[in-house]
Amino acid sequence: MGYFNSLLQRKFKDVAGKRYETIARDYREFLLTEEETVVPEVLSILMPLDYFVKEIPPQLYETLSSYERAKVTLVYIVDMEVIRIVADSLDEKAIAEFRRKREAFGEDLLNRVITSLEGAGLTVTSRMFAGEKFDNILELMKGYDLIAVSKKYGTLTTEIAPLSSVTLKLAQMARVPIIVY
Amino acid sequence: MKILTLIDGSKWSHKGTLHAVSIAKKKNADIVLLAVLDRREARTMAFNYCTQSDKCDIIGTYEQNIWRDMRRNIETELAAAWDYCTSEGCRCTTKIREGDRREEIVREVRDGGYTLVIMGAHGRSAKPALGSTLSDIAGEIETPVLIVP
Repeated sequence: MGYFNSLLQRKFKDVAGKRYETIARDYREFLLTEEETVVPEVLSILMPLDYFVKEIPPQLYETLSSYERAKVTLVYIVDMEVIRIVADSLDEKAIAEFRRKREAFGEDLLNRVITSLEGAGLTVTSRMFAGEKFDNILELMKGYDLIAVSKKYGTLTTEIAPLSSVTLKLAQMARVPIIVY
Repeated sequence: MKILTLIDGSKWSHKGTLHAVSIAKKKNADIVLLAVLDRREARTMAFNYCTQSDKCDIIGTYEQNIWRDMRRNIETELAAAWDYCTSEGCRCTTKIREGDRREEIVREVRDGGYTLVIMGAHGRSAKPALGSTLSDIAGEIETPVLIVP
């Protein structure tokens, strides 16, 4: 607290003088509130996964292990829009095969991530469903203290566009800390 | 574990420092507080002053003064953050780099062997800084980036 009080004193309070209270109220978005000086405890972490998330860096596990009381929820989403596109061109059998392969990939990825997270001392639950990668995660995010999302989540990335537009949008809309890996 | 915290003087970078200290205390991590100064900001401000005030005869001096103040301000900022880190029992160092923000941050991350980068979701203007900054930095490095809103 002393750190922030001294910063405010030095940078603003002395300069603002008698108008401090008024200016502090009108320009409060630039100033830390008392509540903001306390780092909220992270008890729940949402980690969206999908077909584009192939690898997870070991540094992420090390970072997440600092939230030792947190429960991690892994959510693997099979993109419904892709299934619809495939359904427009292929027969039922091919669609079922496509979906089976995507789900098998998801199971494998989930199992690998669960093993690593549990190895880092975290409690993990997981779920898999077909849905909308952005809309579903945006809705789910509201119930979590921290989000960890791959920079490849949701779309194919390229050398000139290495950050997924889905990840960027999620980061811009998050109201809680978000780790982009 | 080694954490890089980006400091620009905004309240969001102060919040980033709080998160860095919180993690460092649990993981016995080292914290590096990094500020990047871009001379072009001083040149822009000096040029705008010239065009708006009609006092272009002092543009060179004005640019020098702005640059000096930018450096002095960020040094004070880093010193305060360092005081806070060390008072919380963390190992902490400060760094100032000069040049293009994106290039200097990426260079520091690649050379520094960091486990985590922490940055604020907003810059000093309070506008969302996430668009280009996140794309430029996160896209170029392998290290996870924690963004603090």
